[in-house]
Amino acid sequence: MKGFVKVVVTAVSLVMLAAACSSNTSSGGGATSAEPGAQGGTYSFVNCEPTTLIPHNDYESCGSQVFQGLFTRLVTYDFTTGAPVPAQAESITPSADALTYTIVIKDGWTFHDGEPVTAQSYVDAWNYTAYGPNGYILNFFFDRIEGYDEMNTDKPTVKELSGLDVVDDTTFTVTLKAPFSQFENTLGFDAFDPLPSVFYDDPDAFNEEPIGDGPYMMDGAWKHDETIKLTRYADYAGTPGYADNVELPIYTGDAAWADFQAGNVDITLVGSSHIEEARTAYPDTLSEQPGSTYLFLGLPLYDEKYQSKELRQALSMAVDRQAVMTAILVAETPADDVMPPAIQGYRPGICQYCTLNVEAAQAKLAEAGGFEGPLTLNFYADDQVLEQAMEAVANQWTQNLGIEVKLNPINGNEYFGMTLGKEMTGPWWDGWVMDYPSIQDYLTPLYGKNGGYNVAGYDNPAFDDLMTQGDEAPTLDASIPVYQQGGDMILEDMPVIPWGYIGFNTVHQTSVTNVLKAGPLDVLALELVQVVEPSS
Amino acid sequence: MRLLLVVPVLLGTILLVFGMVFLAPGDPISRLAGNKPLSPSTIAVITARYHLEQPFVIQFWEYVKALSHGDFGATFTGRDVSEIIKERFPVTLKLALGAFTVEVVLGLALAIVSAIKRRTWIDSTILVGTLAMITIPTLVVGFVLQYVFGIKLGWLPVAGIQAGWQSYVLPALTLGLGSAAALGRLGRSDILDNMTGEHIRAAHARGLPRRRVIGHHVLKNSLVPIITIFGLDLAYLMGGAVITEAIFNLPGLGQSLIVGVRTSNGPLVVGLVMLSAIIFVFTNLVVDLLCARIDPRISYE
Repeated sequence: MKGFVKVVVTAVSLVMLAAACSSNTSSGGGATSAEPGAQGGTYSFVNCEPTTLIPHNDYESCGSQVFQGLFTRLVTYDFTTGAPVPAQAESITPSADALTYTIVIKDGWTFHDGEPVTAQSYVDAWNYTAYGPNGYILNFFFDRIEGYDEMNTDKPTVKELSGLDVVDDTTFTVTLKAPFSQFENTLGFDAFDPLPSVFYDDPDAFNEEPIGDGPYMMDGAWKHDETIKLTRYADYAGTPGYADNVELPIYTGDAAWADFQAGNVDITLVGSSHIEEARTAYPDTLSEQPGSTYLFLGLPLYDEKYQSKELRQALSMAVDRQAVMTAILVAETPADDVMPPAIQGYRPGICQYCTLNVEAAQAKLAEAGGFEGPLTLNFYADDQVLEQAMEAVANQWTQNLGIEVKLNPINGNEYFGMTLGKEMTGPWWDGWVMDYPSIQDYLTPLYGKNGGYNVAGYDNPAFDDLMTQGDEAPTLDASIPVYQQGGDMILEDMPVIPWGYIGFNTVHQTSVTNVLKAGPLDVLALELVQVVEPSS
Repeated sequence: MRLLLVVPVLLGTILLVFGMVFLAPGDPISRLAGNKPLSPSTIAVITARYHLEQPFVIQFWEYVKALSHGDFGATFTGRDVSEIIKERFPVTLKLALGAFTVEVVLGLALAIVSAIKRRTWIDSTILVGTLAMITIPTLVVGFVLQYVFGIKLGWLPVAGIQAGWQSYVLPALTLGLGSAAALGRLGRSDILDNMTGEHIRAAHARGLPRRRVIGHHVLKNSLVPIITIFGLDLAYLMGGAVITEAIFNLPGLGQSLIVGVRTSNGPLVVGLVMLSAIIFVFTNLVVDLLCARIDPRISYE
């Protein structure tokens, strides 16, 4: 879910993150020999150093992996469809206009310190995050809720969202500023975790040993840059985790792979640098799945050269994505929709201009009236694999369309400043990771008139209307076909060239089994991993 | 007097590093969330917290002011830099001391043996061997040691510091071998120079036992250049552990510096470089004083 951010933070480029190639959708690898329900044992999973362990102030994948075990949210997501399923919530009921949501939580749940989880636990945590002066990173998730604006002025006097209303210990209502059919989808994200009251006494202390309501609790304090240990929470009211203990040793860089080869850790993610090695050495326990990162080549629609949609379609049809991914970006899969497969509403193969078709591409280019070259292709500097891939794309454009292409590597520190500032002079390498698993989150932010990352500068009132209609749909199911129409519009207009999906690839020792990606989220489902011989 | 000189050196270092970090392109806040649009209120709070809206001079002044109270500031992700240093310093120190031990023990042994056995096959073997050790990059040595002793033979830990002192064996060897080889070669010629000196011949002529001549007269006189090298090396090892720490996943200062630079985390980078500068300056001070003790001709009054 935060993969893209992680990539940025580690300043390796997109391709360096775990990525998927063969679309092996049967997850967990080969062995599933452990008896169902076999509990106990300890396993370890390679992780990285989180920036913080306060979920509401963290926006990267190292932290989310820990929160996956420490917290149970209102909703979780179906592993196959990606649809939200109540978890700590008993029910979430939208009003007919999708403006007010009544949330009832399950009774009898407790935090790891014994404090009961109540409606107030949620409301307080949300208010704290939504209050501007606290400066929490995930603050912007609350701007859909009534009263957010008053809490984020220069000198806010209000400290509580007027849209939140506690009815009783297990019930609260949320009133939004505008109808939003996807609200339930957002509730499985870290920003909406509940917090125990001890948090407010000393957030810094909480950060070192966070207390959640999930299947696992901290086993001692966070040992920075060394390890985070979790142990099963005995009084967990949901379905308990299989393993007794989970160790999340912290690695920086390549040492994790060496340690896995030596048999010192049970599970690790596999990045593009080791995926081919893993395919030969660990074919039975390697699992490759498309993650939630949607890669695309951005296009400067603000530049008059790129106004013609036929040109954009031509550029898209003139690249052989699969060939580049077989040869260079070995851990990615080609995009065939405006979003990754794990998201509800995904339609395989719907993008008609996303496969190589040289004749059609040339025809479209002629229709667009040709292209006055040269074309500048921009990408992150300092990543040789990416550079090779971009060279391949450039060659294909030159060969198939006769366009002269100049490669332009850009310093990673300046990159997003240039995309957001609309300073790009030609197509550029880019990507988007969802904030919550919803088709809407792959559309509105990227192409909506006021979209937070509409870096193409796409402006289409008909598209915006569809997005509003989708937001106003009475149910989630009803909203999807509407958003899909918006997706069709994007695939026709091509404000960006769909490129591919970065994978979530895991490999594990035979000591563990049932290693699963947590549905549409790019984290491991810690509670489902089973230790094969837990007696030791 | 020497101590007073330390102050301008350190101030200059801060100014230089701070300037470089300040002038580096890109917005550190955007680093916190990649291409995600943070809310304006969040950005405003973080900007104010780190004085990012202030001009360079003010930022620099705020930093120096805090530093004079021993406060290294906080990273953009909210951790105290002093705390990071406190936590990581022991790791790097252990690694550096381990490597230093390798350098001193192995390096001196090589130097003495090859000097005494000069122009024999032992001497030639050592000369060729040390040349190879100097030529092979640390990176290669590290990966080879890790693969052979960690992964294939499984004798020693591959990564991390969970296994206590054993975790430091391979990294210390990786870091120390090159310096040991260099010291071996330099020490050899240094000792040989001394062995041909008049006073040594005189000592031999007086009938002193060979062991005493070499131990007392040759080695003692060879110490000044060797100690100078020790000093420079220790400081270098403290700062030069970047590659080794990355290979073996040791949570030390070097690893932190890489992360800091990559993420434009100014306060972290400035703090770490400052620390390196302090270590460097003080080790050199100690070396100078030691040399003055060993060789009365050197004086720093």
